Amino acid sequence: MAKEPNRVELLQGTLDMLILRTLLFAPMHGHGIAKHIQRTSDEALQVEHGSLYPALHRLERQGWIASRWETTERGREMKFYRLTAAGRKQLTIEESKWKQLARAIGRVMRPA
Amino acid sequence: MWRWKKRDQDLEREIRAHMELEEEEQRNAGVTPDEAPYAARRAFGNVTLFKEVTREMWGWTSLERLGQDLRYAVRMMKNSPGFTLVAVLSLALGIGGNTAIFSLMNAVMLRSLPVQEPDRLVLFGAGRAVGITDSLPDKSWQLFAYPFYREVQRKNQVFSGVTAMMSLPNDVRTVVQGARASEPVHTRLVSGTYFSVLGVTPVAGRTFTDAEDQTPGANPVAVMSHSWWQRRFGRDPSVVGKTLTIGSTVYKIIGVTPPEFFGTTVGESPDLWIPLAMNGQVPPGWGGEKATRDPSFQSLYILARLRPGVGAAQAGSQVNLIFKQSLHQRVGSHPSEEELRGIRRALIEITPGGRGLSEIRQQFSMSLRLLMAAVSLVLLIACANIANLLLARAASRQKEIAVRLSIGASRLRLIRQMLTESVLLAVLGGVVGVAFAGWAGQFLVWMVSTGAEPLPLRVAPDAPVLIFTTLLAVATGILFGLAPALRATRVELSSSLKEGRSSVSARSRNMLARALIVSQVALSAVLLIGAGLFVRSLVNLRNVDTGFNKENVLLVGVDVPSLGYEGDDPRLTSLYRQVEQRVNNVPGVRSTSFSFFTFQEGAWTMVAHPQGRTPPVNQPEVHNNVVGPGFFATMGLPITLGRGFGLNDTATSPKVAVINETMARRYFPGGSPIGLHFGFSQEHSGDFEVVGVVKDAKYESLRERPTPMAFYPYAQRVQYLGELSVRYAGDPHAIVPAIRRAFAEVNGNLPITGVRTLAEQVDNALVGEKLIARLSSFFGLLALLLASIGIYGVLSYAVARRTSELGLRMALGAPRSNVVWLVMRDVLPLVTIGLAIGVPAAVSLERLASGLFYGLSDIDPLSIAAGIGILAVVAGVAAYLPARRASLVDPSTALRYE
Repeated sequence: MAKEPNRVELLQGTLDMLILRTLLFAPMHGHGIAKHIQRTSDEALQVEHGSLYPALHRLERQGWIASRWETTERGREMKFYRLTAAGRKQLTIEESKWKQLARAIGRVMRPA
Repeated sequence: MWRWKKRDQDLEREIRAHMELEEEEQRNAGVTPDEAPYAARRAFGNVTLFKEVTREMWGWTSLERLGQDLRYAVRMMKNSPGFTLVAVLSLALGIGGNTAIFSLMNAVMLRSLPVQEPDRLVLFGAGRAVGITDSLPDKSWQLFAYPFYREVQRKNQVFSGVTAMMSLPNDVRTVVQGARASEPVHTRLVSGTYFSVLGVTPVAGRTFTDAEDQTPGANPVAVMSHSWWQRRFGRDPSVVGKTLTIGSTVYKIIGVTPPEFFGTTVGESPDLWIPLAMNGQVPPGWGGEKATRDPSFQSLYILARLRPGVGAAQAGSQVNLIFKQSLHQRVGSHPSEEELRGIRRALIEITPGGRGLSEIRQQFSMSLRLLMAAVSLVLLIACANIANLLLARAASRQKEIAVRLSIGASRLRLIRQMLTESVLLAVLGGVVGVAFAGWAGQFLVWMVSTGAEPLPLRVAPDAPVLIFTTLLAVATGILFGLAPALRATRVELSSSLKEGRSSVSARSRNMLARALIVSQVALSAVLLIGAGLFVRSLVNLRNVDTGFNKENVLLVGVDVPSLGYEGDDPRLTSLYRQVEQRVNNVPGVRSTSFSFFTFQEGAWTMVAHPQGRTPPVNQPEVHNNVVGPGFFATMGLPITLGRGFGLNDTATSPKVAVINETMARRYFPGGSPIGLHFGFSQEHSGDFEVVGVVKDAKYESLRERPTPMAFYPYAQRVQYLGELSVRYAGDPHAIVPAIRRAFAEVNGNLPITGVRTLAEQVDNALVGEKLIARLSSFFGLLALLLASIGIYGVLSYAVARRTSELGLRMALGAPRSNVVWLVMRDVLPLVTIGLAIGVPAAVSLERLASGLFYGLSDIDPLSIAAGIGILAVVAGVAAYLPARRASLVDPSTALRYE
């Protein structure tokens, strides 16, 4: 499977943050989360759909998200994930960590 | 398990829904319906891998994961029952053998006494002697006098308590209050501090105290063991307070010890404990009152409890200080130079006392260690065998493994799975092995027991044994499973998937299989040659010249003390005379004699002082015996000089002695000793006149070197004698009832405690040697069997793989014998290398353990030749069977085989 040149690999550990962020607005199923990440990143982020599931199940085990089987408007049974209170808190932590990291990397790459 | 299943189904459903949605979207985006599922899959990535990784996220308990692996393992085992059976059985033999030997080792050598804080108990000396000695200590000392025990108790600051036990057992008869007949009881004399120092709390009544152990003969009290209480009295609590009569003294039963307590000697279980101060009253009254007064009457073991914070070294230095003081006191103000030299060398080694004393420990610990080593080798061979079988099986599972790896199973996961299989096999083997060990343990106890009843040893698996076995089984499983698992999962995927056969680096698999065969042959060679050495050494010992004639002699045990005479009552002499006369008149009896000891019944040793001569250098101890006039004839000991004893040697005639050739040579060199005198001290060196010299004979063991011996007539040395030796001709079964009648005619109250033959007694001396010779032979043969299964298995597999090649050869005209040779040729170098490693290993082990073998040269050619021969023949047969099968294959079938 050839990679398209303008796609970038996800940084290790950022997938969790992206998932939490995606669920901030509304509960969603795995497929929807994958699509959302791709769409909002203007197709720049390459996510193998399968890689979401280990992350989802891990986040659920940590109590940051919860899941429920629901029927979509189009009559399909899907497992929906939603953010918990603990997950909301976790998201702010991850976000601030990410910002710190991004700033730091930015400084290194473009020294003032 | 249901939780796992439900979650798995849930994930399954979640991913399916995902895929369906994706397919739909792909179709909407214009992908053809045929292509859509593939596109969805591509977008998803490796489904199996993600499923596997997701499952990891569930944070399963390792139990669930194990359950999954176990179910798979059980399925695999069901699929190949033959393999499972062979593996489990050979492991059961290996693990069971290890468990059985270990449980005996645990019972004899390792287990602590069931007393309070056994770690803080120390023993004076190593408890390596039993008996009475009056020698002045001049080396590491084992037996101690009663005054010394009291001195240590009084002067030490390192022990919280000190106790002493008579080293000799008092196996007496007693009449329980209300009972008519007397019965035998194993009795031990112990100091009043015994139970308090050990920290043994009675389950009924009380135990005796130091206060009851002060005045000789003053406190006739007895504590009884739980096992006797149960056996004899059905645990009747009212027994406490009743009395029993031993000799002429009435004892009060004051308490019962807890069920697990068996005293302080492993391999014994006394029925009664009586204070040491009663020594003079309890038959046979070892030394009478002397035993508690005379500092040179050394017959006790001393056990002490260290004060908290005191180490064995500190205790040792203080004990030795007290010891030396007491020795200087004993030799008086004008000690000889030699006595001073002796005292300088005298030493008490402080040894750990928590495991108690044990004669059988000393007798068998070497044998048990060796057997443990042998049985471990057997287990190693069994492991090699199963590893080989697993390798062959892994080769047939290669395709399955390749598939599992290619669809995303991790190698680690597969290895864990395969290890689960082998550990499960080992655990199954262990379970069967423990069952087998329970039975084998009893058998071992029976083998090491010489008396009528088996030794009271608890060999039933207890916690340490079960822990040992569990660890052993798991380690075994990993040992034989790891190499095949590593090898099997190292697969070149593409070639395996294509061919599925003979593509895993077949050569390296073969190398491992071959290395395993070589090691099996080598280990078997060590075991077989070792077994040969033990068997040969046993045969040599059996043929040792004992000096006496052990055939056609009955040993009749007699309980003289139960008649109620004091130990120095002159009526004893006439009693012995009368019994000897009556028994002599029994048809078929040639001669008969009472004696203090016969072979291997103990020793009474003294240092002798020849009159008017300088004693020999190092003054070898003289072994003494008290005998009747017929003793030398009964034992078949020829008198080489002078005379034996006669009826004229009486209490009033001059004191006489017969000595053996070694004593004559050492103590009276240069000329005949007849008419010369010796005694037990310088002042009493005129006590005994030598009237005869008798041939040397073994006294305590078959391995001993000739030792000085002296015999005294019982008429001149009145004491209890426990045994009548009877030399007979003809059928002993007819003679025994006649002997019993003869006893009854002399005195109706004189009980016979047992009848054995002297030959049996000599045979009992070889119990350890027999044990090790039999078991090492058994283990050797077991090793041989396992190794031959290994050779057979590997060759069968090789033949199966070469079927087409062999068929081709035969089709082209190769004779069958040629094919047989072709196959067998494979094994020849393996067996040769195995022997080349095993034989030198066995030889160097023989050198290391040369003390264990009797009458064998450094390299025993017979054992080695026999070992090599047996191995070669069995290996040949194991290799011939598959080779012959290969040669019988029809060439046309063989060619179509692949």
